[in-house]
Amino acid sequence: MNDFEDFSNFCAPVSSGPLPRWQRKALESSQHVNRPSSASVTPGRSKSKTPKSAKRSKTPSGDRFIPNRKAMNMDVCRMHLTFESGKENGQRPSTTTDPVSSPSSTEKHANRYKQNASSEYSAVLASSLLDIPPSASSDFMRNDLPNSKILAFGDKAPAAKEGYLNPHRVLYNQNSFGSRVRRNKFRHIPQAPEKILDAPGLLEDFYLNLVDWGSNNTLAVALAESVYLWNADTGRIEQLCETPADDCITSVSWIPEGNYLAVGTNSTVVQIWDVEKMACTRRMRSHSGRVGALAWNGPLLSSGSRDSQIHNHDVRIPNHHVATLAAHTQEICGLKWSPNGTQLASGGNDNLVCVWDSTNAGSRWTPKFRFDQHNAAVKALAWCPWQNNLLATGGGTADRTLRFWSTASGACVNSIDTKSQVCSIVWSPHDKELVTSHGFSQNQLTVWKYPSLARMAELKGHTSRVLHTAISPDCQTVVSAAADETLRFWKVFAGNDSGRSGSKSGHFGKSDLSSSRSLTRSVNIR
Amino acid sequence: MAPTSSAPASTPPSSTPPPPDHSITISGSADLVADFFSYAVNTLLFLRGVYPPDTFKHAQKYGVTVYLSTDQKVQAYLQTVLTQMRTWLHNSALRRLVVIIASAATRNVLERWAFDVNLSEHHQTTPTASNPTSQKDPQRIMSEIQAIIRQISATVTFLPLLDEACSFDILIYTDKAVQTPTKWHESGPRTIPNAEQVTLRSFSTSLHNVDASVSFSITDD
Repeated sequence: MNDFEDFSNFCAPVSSGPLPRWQRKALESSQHVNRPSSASVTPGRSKSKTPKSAKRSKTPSGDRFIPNRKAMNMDVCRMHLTFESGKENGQRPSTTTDPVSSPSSTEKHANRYKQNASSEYSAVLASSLLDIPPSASSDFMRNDLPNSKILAFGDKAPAAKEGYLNPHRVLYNQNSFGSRVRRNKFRHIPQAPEKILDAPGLLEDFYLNLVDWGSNNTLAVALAESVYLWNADTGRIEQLCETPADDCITSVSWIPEGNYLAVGTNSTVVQIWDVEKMACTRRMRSHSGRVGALAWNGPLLSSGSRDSQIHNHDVRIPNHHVATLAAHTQEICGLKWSPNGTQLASGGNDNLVCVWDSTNAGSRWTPKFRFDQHNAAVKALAWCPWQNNLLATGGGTADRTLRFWSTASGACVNSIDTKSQVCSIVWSPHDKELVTSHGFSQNQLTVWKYPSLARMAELKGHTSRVLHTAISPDCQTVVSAAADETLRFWKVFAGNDSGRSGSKSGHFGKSDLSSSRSLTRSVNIR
Repeated sequence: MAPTSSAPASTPPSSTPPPPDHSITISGSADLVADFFSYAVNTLLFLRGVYPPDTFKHAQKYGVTVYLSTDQKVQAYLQTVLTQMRTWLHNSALRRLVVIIASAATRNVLERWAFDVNLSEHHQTTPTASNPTSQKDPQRIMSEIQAIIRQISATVTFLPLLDEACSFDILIYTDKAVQTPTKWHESGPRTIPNAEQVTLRSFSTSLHNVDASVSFSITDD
């Protein structure tokens, strides 16, 4: 037994790994030869001595491979073998003094080390060989924190509002598919504006309507306190009116006949201006908030205000305020009469679109339809000129969708996410196309085919959001007014056939047609 | 790793007079961590756009702007879960809090925010009877929390867009010994296969260490 203890003492430090060859030899020899003296040797020395004695006793003299032990530094090798696991926890001395516990502790340590290493290694190997992500194979259902349990509350968190979209979308998608427009499929649309005019002092306010192009081929633009008229035929600019310094113009709208301009102001007054005499013919007070939207229907002028009401004014009679349309709860920013004059569409900051029917209104107006699908203020409204009961609406920054409604049935017949704030919409009267103007991030105008809603062109150039658009009387040019204080004229539409052939050379078409019409169909305003 | 802390430590009496200077008791430290979780979860819901931004109000906390949900239902849910979480935290039974953001339609986990809570060595070794306190300057703790909140706000720059309606859930890892309360049930870890993990900053009250990390799915591109 003493011998056995000696033996275990002797071979203790290397029991963790595979035995070196010399130890196997020693083992064999100790089984055959009862080794006499090594037990009394101090352990430190025994290590250095052992290989030698083992080698000497067993080296055969045949023609076998005989390693050159002299050339190997066996002491160092052994030191590496034993110290590798033992030295971190300072077990080196104990291996020699405590023969029973030391092997086991070293072994344990080494085993744990090996286990960790091998599991890690095999996981990495498996993931690289089998193409399985390391986490997927093992962690998916297993609790990744040992000795714990995972608890979840039974009632789940409420879902977000229906139709709500992540507002971060606008940070990620910056109209990335604009480049994918298949332009060659459509006719050529010039990408650059035909003309750029400066509009210093143009208010940057989404809720106003500051640009209108009348049938007399005159563009009315409200710049802060003044209204300017730009004659597209002659290029002449006239200042029509100016408000006091503490007031400003909030909306302009041409009567379809082209000889009168309605002007809404911040001071809640609606003014009617005769542009031939350059004189104000009428001031109408009824609202309690600024008038941000105006729309004509024959002699009837509808005005939408910040007080959330729409008032109908019959401009021919002294008692002009003939009807109040109250369905919105916030500022009215979009107002359009349908081309046949039977329906009025209104859009407000309360994300609501209302359609009012004038034919069976009587004294008390109630909306025929209320569309609440938009998630932002609806300023962009446009009636389709070539299809009855088709209304296009566009939502603001939080919504960014373009929707098409049948105002006969109240159904949303089409919609598309434009990825950008929709500020205004203009239909082409002669082609199945429309133009929308947008804000962040491209500040572009987009030309759409309807009803396919394919993007025919993206017109870029404005450096800030394109707040207002208007179409010329010859139906070819669209003017856009943006918060970068410029007006840009884009030749977007082909116009009608006669216009197409007639105005090849001319800049903005001939105004003789519209002016003659304005003579024959002038409205008598007191 | 704190496997030895599984012995349920009783809540230290909250009536103990606060030691002088700015030393923090274990209960104060737990409150600090629980408050952080409450603000962090609310702010996460805002920043990741799980709920509309107009249902949040903003407040100043830790020297940064945090967002708090004003939606009644969300508030009620968070109130229930976070109150229970606070209890566990006081009992030193809380190991980890995980906020899961999953697709509402497919229920696939899109983002997983993990906050590991580790009791410091000091607290583990000394029994709770001796009321361990922390001498860490509250100002420093505050700035560490501030750094985490800032970092969470900055994650919007690298996290993929949550381009669909999302729901969120809170998983709480507790000690095995904890009894499951009524209306709670055990859940899987709901990890994300093929996930990218980003370790965020951590903060420590010197009694509790909180390590934050976010993992998200990188299936696209």
